[in-house]
Amino acid sequence: MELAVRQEDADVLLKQKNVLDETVLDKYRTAGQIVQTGLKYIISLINESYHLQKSDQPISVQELCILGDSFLINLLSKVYNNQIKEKGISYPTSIEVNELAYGFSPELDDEGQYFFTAGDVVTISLGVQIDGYTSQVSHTLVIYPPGIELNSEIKPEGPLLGSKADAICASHIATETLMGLLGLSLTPEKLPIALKNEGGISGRLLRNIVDSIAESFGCIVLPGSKIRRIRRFLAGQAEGIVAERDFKGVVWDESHQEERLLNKAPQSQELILSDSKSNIKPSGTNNSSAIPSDEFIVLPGEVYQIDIRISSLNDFNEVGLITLEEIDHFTGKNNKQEFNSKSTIHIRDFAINHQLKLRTSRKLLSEIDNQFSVYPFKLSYTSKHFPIDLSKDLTEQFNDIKQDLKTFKLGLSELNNRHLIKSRPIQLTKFVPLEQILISANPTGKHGIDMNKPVLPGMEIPLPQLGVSSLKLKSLLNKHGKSVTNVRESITVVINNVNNGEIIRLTGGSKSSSPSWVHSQYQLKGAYVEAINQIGQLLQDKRFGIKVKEIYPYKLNQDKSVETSMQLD
Amino acid sequence: MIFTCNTCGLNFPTAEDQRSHMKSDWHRYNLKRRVAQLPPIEEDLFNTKVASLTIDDENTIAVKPKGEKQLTKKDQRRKEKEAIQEKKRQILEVARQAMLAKMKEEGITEVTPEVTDKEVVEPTEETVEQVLPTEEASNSNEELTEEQEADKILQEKMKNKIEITPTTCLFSQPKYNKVFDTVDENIDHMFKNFGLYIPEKTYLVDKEGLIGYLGEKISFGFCIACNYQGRNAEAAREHMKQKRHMRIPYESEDEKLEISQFYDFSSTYADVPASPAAAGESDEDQWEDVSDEGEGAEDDEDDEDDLPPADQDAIYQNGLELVLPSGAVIGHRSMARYYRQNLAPERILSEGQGTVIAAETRHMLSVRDRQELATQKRVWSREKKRSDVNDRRAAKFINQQEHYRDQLLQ
Repeated sequence: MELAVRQEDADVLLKQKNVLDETVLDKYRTAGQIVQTGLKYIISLINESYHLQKSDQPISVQELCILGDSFLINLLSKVYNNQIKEKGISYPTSIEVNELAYGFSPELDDEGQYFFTAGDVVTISLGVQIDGYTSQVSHTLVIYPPGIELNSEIKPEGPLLGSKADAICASHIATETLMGLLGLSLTPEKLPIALKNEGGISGRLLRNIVDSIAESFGCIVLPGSKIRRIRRFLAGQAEGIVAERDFKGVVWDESHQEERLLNKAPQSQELILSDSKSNIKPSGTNNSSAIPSDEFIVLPGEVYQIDIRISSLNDFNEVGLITLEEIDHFTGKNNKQEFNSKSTIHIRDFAINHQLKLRTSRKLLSEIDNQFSVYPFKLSYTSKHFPIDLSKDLTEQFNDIKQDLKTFKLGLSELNNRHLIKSRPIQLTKFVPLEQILISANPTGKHGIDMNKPVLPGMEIPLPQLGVSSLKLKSLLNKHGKSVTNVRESITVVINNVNNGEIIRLTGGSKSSSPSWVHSQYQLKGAYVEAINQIGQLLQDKRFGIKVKEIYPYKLNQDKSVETSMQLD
Repeated sequence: MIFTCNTCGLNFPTAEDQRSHMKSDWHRYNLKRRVAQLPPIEEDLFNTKVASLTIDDENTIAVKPKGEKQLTKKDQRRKEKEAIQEKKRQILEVARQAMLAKMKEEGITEVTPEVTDKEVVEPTEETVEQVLPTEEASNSNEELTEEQEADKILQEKMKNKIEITPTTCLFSQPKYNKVFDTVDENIDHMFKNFGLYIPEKTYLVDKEGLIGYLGEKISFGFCIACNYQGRNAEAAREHMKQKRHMRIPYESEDEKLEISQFYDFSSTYADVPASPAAAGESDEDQWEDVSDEGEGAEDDEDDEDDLPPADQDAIYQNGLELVLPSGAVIGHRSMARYYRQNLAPERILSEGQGTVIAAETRHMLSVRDRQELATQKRVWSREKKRSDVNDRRAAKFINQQEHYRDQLLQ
């Protein structure tokens, strides 16, 4: 690698700057507040457009994305203007509907227009960073049939039922429980008795609890879900590109589903090709600290991102597993009559340096390096008409941005060809029957890694025990894959040990995004039921329970502008 | 019958005697003298000459093995120079001690530099005079070495020296008694009558010193413009008048440096603060000047080594680069190929980029070593060549097959 940072500098950047103190907490809080407000703003836009039908034409996903980003940028421009050098969007506003799992944030010039219909589950994800301290949120809400507003709350006619409702329930309970568990690392004496002998809040415990919640709702935790520690400038924005040193977190992928399925059928041991996961060689790195492992203990003073995606298996009668499929813009167009879109979120890979030929691409690269730093960006951010002025006519500004997008398109493709930037693929959730995996011929074994698939080091092979490579799994998806709806809840929490110890919920929660009205026919069951219930009670108990501080959003006015007065919880 | 030797003018009773004489060195020597049209010498005289020469030879033979290597001219010159410098140093040391003693006697603790200058000069001359006779006495029998000659000349000069004050005209005969009230008047007079032009007048800070210095030079019998040295001041004046050498040379670096102590160019360096070099110049510089005058122009090459880097404060030399006061850097020509390189500017990382790079553990493909690649290519080409040769060789024997194979049927 050409670039290197001196050890002393690296220590400062990776360790000292991540020690919590008042200034750091303040940056986290401000970022959280902006994210909360942004989430509230987008939810209100969706409500007005779909639930109350205030406008004649419903608002499209493209418009929601650009409006959300503009709103965040406008809010960011009011804080920390002279003290810090880097602030901005850490996660472009993406809105995924039903089976779309990741990275869907269409530009204004996208070919299709995307709208919601009643019964859809819509995941809104966004995030901002202030001086590298990042807050991110994902929230899934349900689109109901148009209803009425009562006391500034949407009152749907009835709850959502079915498999989508199960997934929403599971994800909500999982997120809340995980937040409580992380908070218990501050006060281990309050741990439920069932969890006392686990030896602290370990990665294994976190995984088991989430798995048990999902299972009791007939759901599965999707690949790409994670509970990970975030650090300054290292908030998982470049996962799959950068092999991050000292990765700490629980990550789910297909191998965990495989393990679960094989455990269910202990008599079919002859299927297993290789027992241990240890002989898998991660292709990206040889540094063991970059490979996720469950062997860690959550410590006070750390910041965690809880990012749980859940899909229900209740619609399928057969045994199978759920994986993510990348939309290939080119082949997708030719072979399938399915949903198709170009990936729009890009991130700069700083380890790669190349002297570019085109002037436009050089200009674009310098702009990316200076403006977006290490966080993902969309091409529309480079437009000079961005951010959109929300108080003026929107259609005209949309057209201006569309014009500007054309100028940088060529440069972008060169940057992509030279691997200076990596585009984040749009991913879909797909169900594959296990039968199809077992009966398909797999002569090459697990050799062959799909480089387009962003995975963490050590997770290149999706089914290591069955010896199925990612390329093989991808080919199976073409024929046997079935789309399945996914639900995502993601929050950022700070385990604050500065004063008297509390957990700061930077994003999510009832103040910005109350859960949609759903009804599931399942109930919590399994080994951890009591513990989960106790944690729920501890979270409710203001006096003796887990202290949780939620970050409140700014107040939204009627015309969608924000009251300028700072209102900290 | 008488046997004679016409060369040496001798008679011999027998032929044997004559023959033995003819074989002797004495006869041979006389023969050579005869060829050179010189009269023959007596045998006694010849023998004494031979004896003295053999002693010399023995001496040289005895000395030689010690030296081991034969001294080259260069080494000789170097040794002579070192000896001169050593002697100079000793003289200086004696003089300094004498001066210190004098100062102690007078009870002077603090002296301004100008005062020391004057006081320093005079004691030296005295001490030099004191020191020299004793040395001369000790080795009066031996041949005078070069340095001693120089000392002797110096001594003579000292005797001949006459005082020329800065207010006296440098070039006029003493009988006209051209003495002025001020230095400026004197300079004006010399400019009008003799065309003495003083270079860089605006930066001249010590007029009196400069004229005094020139006067001193003349008083020792030196020409101010060339290497000429006369017996006394009168001779120097006559020479300068004849050759029109009534000018201060100011062209080469050495010439400039010779009178640089009277100038102050610090106002021309915009950035560098004026250095107190002129005031704080060490005593040794002064001493150097004196000795230079003594040895005259022979020592010119030495000057380069002995002179302190006068432009030290103005230009900072950094290896093969000169850093000018303005901050510009001048590189040496030998490094031109490196300066001509067009390298990409260094990337300056922001904190975020630095953090990500610091946390990065991917192993990247490194740029391939060029030399290694060349070796690899050579190996490939050799393999290809070998296989080609093999093919051709195989083609040669295509007709020597045991069984005929029709190409068309293959």
